[in-house]
Amino acid sequence: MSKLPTENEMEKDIVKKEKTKKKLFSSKKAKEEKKTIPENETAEEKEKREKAEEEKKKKADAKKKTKPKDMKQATKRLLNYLKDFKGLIVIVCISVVLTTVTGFVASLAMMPVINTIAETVVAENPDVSAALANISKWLIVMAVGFIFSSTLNLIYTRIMLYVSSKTLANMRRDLFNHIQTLPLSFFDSRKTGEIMSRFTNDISRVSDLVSNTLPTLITSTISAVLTIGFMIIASWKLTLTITVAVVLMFMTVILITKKCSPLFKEQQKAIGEVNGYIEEYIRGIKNVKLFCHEERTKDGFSELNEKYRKIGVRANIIGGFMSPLMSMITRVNYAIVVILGARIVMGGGMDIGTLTAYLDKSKSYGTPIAQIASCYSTLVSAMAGAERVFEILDTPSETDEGKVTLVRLIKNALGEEEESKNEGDFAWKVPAEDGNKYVPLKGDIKVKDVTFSYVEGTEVLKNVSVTAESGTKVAFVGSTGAGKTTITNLINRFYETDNGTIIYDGIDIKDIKKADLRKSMAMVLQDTRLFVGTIAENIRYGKLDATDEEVIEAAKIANAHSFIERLPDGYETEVRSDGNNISMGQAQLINIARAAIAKAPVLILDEATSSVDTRTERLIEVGMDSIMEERTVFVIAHRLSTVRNSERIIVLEKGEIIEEGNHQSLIDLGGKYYQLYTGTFEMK
Amino acid sequence: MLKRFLEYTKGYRILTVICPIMIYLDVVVELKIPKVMGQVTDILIGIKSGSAVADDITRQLTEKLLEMLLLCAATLIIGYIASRCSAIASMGFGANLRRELFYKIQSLSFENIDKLKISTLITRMTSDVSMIQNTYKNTIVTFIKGPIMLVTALMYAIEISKELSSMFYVALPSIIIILVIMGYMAVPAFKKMLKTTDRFNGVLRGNINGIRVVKSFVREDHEKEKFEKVNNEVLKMNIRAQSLVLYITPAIMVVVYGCMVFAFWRGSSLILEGESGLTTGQMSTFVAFISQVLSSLMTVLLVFVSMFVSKASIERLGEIFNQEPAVSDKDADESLKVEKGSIEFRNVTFKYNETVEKNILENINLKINAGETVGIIGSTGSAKSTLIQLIPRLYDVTEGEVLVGGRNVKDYTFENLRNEISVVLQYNMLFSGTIMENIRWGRPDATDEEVFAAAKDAQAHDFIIDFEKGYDTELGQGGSTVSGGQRQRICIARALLKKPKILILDDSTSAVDTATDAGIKKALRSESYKDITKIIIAQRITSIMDADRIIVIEDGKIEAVGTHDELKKNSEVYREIFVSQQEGVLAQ
Repeated sequence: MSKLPTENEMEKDIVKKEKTKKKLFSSKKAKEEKKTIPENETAEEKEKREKAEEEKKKKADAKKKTKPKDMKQATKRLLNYLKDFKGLIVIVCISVVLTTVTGFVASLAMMPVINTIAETVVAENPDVSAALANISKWLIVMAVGFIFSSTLNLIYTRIMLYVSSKTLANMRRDLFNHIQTLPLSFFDSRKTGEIMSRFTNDISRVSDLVSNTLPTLITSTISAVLTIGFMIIASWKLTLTITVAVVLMFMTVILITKKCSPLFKEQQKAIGEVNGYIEEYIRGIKNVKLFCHEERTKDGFSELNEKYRKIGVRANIIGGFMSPLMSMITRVNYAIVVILGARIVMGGGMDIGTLTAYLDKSKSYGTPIAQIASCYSTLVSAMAGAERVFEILDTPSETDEGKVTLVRLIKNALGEEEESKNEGDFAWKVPAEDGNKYVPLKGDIKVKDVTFSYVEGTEVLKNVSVTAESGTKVAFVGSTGAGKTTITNLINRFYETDNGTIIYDGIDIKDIKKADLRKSMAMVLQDTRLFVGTIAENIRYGKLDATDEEVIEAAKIANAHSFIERLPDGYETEVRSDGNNISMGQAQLINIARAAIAKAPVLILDEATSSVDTRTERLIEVGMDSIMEERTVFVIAHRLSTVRNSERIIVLEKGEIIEEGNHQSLIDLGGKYYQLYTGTFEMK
Repeated sequence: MLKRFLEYTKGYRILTVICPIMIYLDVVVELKIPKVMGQVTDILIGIKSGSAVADDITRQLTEKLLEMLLLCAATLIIGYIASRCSAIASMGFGANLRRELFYKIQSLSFENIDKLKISTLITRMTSDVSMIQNTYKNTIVTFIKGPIMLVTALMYAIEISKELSSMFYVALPSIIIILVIMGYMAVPAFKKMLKTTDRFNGVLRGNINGIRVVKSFVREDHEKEKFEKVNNEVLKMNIRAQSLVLYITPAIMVVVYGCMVFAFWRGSSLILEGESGLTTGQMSTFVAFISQVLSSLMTVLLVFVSMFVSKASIERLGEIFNQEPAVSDKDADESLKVEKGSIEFRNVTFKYNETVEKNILENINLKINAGETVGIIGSTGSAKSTLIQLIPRLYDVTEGEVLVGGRNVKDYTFENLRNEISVVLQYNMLFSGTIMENIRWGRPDATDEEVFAAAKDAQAHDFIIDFEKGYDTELGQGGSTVSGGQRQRICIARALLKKPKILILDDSTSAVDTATDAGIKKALRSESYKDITKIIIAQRITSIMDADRIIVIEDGKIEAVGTHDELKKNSEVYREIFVSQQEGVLAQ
């Protein structure tokens, strides 16, 4: 009769509901967590944390079925994506209708066939050949109907595949292009996995909707109407009986589901405990072995494993009993219909062919209804997915009101300055009412009385002023959370200051176009992740049109050349997506090479050598010194040996500058820096 | 391999066998119903031809109804038994498998674990085991039903009419051919698709993780191009793979419908010619069997698919089961105990893998006396950690020998050897449970006072009692509720509680501030730890400069041995490290 949820599906459903509840509960917490920006977490820790979170997220997402907030709005925008395929979608709709109707009609052709046979068999003088001719006629109708319906089915699913895949790709493209324009705060306040899941889970849910759910919805609705219509016309009494049975069936399912749902929850909890134990003790297996605790660990495991087994057995017995129960009800119902139907036929209320067709249809009577019901839930979840995608598309892009641009100037034959594409000195082009003014790019940076907070109320920087003339090396030191990285975030306008100004070569950086501002600075971050691609591609990221020689030269400056050479494919070695073939220290060297190749007048090194040992660091320093001449360099480091030879060292504490000077003068001062330097050589 | 897995069904074998029997009974009942329907049809036709009496027919119909209701009740009982058996058997099998696997992993040595990787072990123990458990459960319930249904329905069909059944000669092979061809074409296409998807994810993840780099180099447009390319590639591969699958449903539909039309066509002429004895009712029963036969064939083929999928899981687990622990204490002398904490390396050469050419450690000769404090220093990757891991036999030497207490480490059982050696690893690990339980890990029978004493020496006591629940504070999974420095100190306390003869600290105070670090050192110099041999690996020279001897390791070789002052004079490498860390102070 109707297609009912199997035990497995039911189990999933219960879990799903459970997860949704948890989700609701934890969403508040998640919001609070978002506010804290992990500024100085090590890359490894971050990666681990993110991976774990991603996993969790994936699991939660897979089960998530939150309701969309504004169905209308989401639908409208979704339809916008389908606009380009209008013609194809019309064809699909027509095909779907035709497929369903022809399939249905073809299956009804069995009615006249059986009736003809039955009549001929009981006839006194049967005209066998006439009967056979009649039957053949109907069978041809049947065959043609089936072939027609199968072919159309193929055509429309193929079209739908194209439409949905293309929509999916379009949405992904739009989403990606949009997030490229978003401000850094967007990324800082979200986990990588969270953004990734927009691209994977949410969008594919939408594409499922387009490719499967919509056609199914149409087919099911039509076949439900046709089937029920036929059944009522054939015999309303029988149909009433079946309806009663179907209602009974659904009630049983609901009853049992309710009864065993706590059991399934318990089972889920038990397997969670088992897996948690596995995770923890396999991660710590080296510790287990060092302390010879294998036996104790095994005992602990067996206990949980056994608990899970016991609960699992109980849950599965009830769950597994569902399907025999359902089929029993189906069969009883079928039996009653057969006998009742027979009585109706005997009373002349129906012919035999109709009864046969009726029985055939009654078997699948509930199917389209169940399908429509399940479509609804996928529809809701797809719309919720679409909404999450649109939410990102609606996040405002980074604004940029800067008008000053970066250009290159050469002297033309007349000795006048002229803009050039690829050569000459960099200069700022300041548009003014009386024509453009050119200011040579030097790299002078003045931070004046800057105050900043990521979250309102907690100031990360308080009245900070720093002056860095062209050609100087300025270092920021201080403990985690002192605001070192924040300063650089402000200089290249990843974030905007709350108060105070930053002046770059005499121009307020707010007047400079962001892209040009950033082009003038090269950054090396603590982050040790590389992009997918070859090592050469990763270095060339700093200058897309760099020649091979330039790449090698940059690698040599960063002291990376020798290890790259030793890799199996040298510069063409592919960085694997898990990054496992490159160590953290090596990745940092490649990052430095990438910055070196950019040859920007300002260089920002934010914990750039944290995973490199002190000796290698010295070698890099020597290499970098050659390219750092006449450049402004900002260095942030935990390790004081890294910053020692800077012209100016700025000691930050809780967002305020507490000491400033060169290494010697700070040592002479005997303050915080002196303590740090003589007490510990690394600040943790 | 399969044989081994069958072993885990022990204790559940009878249940495993009962299941198919129950399923067979269920199938018989299921097939009985179209039969009854056919019989009813024939009875009805009988009325028309006037060959039957009305009363007789009513009686016949009532009998049929009763028969069917009885059968239905029977299926309910059968179904209950089947679901009970399958639940007990599959959960039992899963539990057995999981337990054996966990035990096996506990027996593996560090080398095996490094090779298999911890994350791999975890996924195998969780998802692969569940996968196999589910396949097993499905096999004994749903999948067994397929072949039984196929054979039984086919037999019933033949019983009705041999001639009509001849169409299965064509229908069955054509379904198999359709699915095999599709599978053959689709599998490589899907593999390609997955590979492209992988790359897609890589590009996306790289972009999101590296957004600071993207923005600071103003490479948004470059990234868009890169994405567009991989996005289109995914689109293309997706359509290519999926479109192959689309043909399956219509193709199968054509076969099923073809059979139906044929059955009606051939059946009607057989009935009307009246020689074969085929009745109208039998024909409708036969038509109903067609879909039973063909759909059960599909289930059978699905069995193969799912076997194929879990075959991969089985192989992955097999890989773990087939691991021989690389280090074994089978030949050890159980009565032999570590008497003294002296250590000696004799011509030790080591490499992790036979196939690697370069030795990680080369020709190490070193003697450490009981009670001595030894510092080890060297740049990253110079094999400092590897050296000390040979002492508790976490790895075995490739050449040469390591002696503890004057005897080769291979002579001791793991338990006797490792109970006398405490190693605090670079990556410390705590387990969920209270702090008390975690420290007591070092020695389960230790008294509370001994735990406090160890915690005090590890400079952990003060911060622990500052917690609201003190020693009863619950640590989250992996000890996540305490900070890195606190975690390190709890680990040290755990190691001290063991009262070992040898204590090895592998960069284990890196997250601890200098004052605390000094406190730990001071405690270690006290009377109670006097006889313990202490080996300290450190990055910072200050952490080891007051050791009895310092060993400088460079590139897998011992570069120099001596006190701080001696090394400053004699060792180039040591001086370089020292200078790089301390230049400023010297200038003072």
